[in-house]
Amino acid sequence: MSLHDTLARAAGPDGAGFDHHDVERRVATRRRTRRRARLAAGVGAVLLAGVAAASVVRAGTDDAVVSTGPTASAADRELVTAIVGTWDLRGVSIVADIDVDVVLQLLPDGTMAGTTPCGSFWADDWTVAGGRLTVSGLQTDGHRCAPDPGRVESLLLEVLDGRPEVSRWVDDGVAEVSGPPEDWTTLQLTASDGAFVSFDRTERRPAISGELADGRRWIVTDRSEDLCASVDLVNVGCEEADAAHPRVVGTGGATLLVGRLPEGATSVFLEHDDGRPADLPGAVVAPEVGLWAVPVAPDDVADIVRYTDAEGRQISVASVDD
Amino acid sequence: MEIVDPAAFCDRVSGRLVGSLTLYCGDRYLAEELAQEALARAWERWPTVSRMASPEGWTFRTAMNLANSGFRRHRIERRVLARAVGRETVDPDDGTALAVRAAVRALPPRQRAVIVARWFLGYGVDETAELLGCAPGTVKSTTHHALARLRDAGLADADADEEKVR
Repeated sequence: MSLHDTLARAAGPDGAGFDHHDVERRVATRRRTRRRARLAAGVGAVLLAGVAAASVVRAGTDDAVVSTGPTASAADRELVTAIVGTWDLRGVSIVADIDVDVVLQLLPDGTMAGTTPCGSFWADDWTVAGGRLTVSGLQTDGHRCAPDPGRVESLLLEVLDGRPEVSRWVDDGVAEVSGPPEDWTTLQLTASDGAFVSFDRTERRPAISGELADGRRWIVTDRSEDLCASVDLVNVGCEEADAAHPRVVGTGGATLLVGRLPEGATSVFLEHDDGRPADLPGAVVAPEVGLWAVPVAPDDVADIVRYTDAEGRQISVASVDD
Repeated sequence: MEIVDPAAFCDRVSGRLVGSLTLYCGDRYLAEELAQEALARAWERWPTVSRMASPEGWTFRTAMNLANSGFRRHRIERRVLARAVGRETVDPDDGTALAVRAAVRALPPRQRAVIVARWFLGYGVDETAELLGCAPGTVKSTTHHALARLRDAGLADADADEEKVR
């Protein structure tokens, strides 16, 4: 049997288990989330400056519990300012595996969006009154879910829909509802029956960006152990990388050599095995975030990286792992 | 043949895309998730993607990049696992298919991509070079090394397949 026939059989049945309607739904969900994020970016700074208590009240809102308008209490207005943002799920009040991606976005335009273990959700309004979060128009995309993540999803949606009490966890595990906005690095939403979901505020991840020779923009983002690269917003790969192990990420014309700077390093020099220096066109070295990256030709990647400090003294040498 | 409608494009290439990704990543469910994600990205950029020489190649490359991305892969795998429970299998998963997929999966990413592009999608050397962003000579040498490894695994017909390297 030829290799083509062997592969064709191993690839499984002809056709896919989805059609263009599924793809179209996915595109629509993403557009909705992005639209909300853009709105958030537009008014976020104003809200966080503390002068937008009235600006997030939209015309036509007749819900009596709207609390972010001029008639809201000072405590509720402060609470709204404190909890605007993006939150990663940290804990739930049931025994369940929460090693899943769950993100809650309380957007400054008064809408809500997020991901559940199995899909996404959104809401037309979120407001705070009397220390409780009120969500209206809560919807999900209704994806099927396995039992454990499904229970987390159900709990999350029930709590959000049940006018939960808003609090934050302080270091000793005690819930607090006071404190300046910058202290709100955690969030807990507790329903009347005691069910709760708790979150950590999503940290802004360090990132650097530059341009490839063909003008496309690349971004390298620090995600804990991994450095992840994207080109024109398409993810081209992630690799574990540290100062001693720069790595090659991506393929073809979208290939980057990426790494972390050792302590005190401000410059990077590349060499081949035979001692020839390698060019660094388009290199970005950012000591302030401890990252560097340079576009490379996949067939001509340097072998050695030398790090130097501001005075030109060599700090360390690393070999490139590809 | 030019396709003016992203819906028609999805329905035309989804089967081949899922098949090629099943070989590339070794798992049918993961392949379907990756294919949907890549097709969604093609749909969003359709005015640009539709004018490319090979919209299918762009979509396959995007899906490969997603598959190679550690962060994205883990996230997608968790979603696939979460949804797979209770679903009827569409994966034959017979012993031979699993063995072939395992042999392909054991190749380095570029060798894997070359084998899938050339022997499953039927791309020529130049098309594959375009897909991977490398020189045609690199495709030939990569193909040669990949076939050698597949031969060691008992998959490739040495003479017949080596002909295609040139």
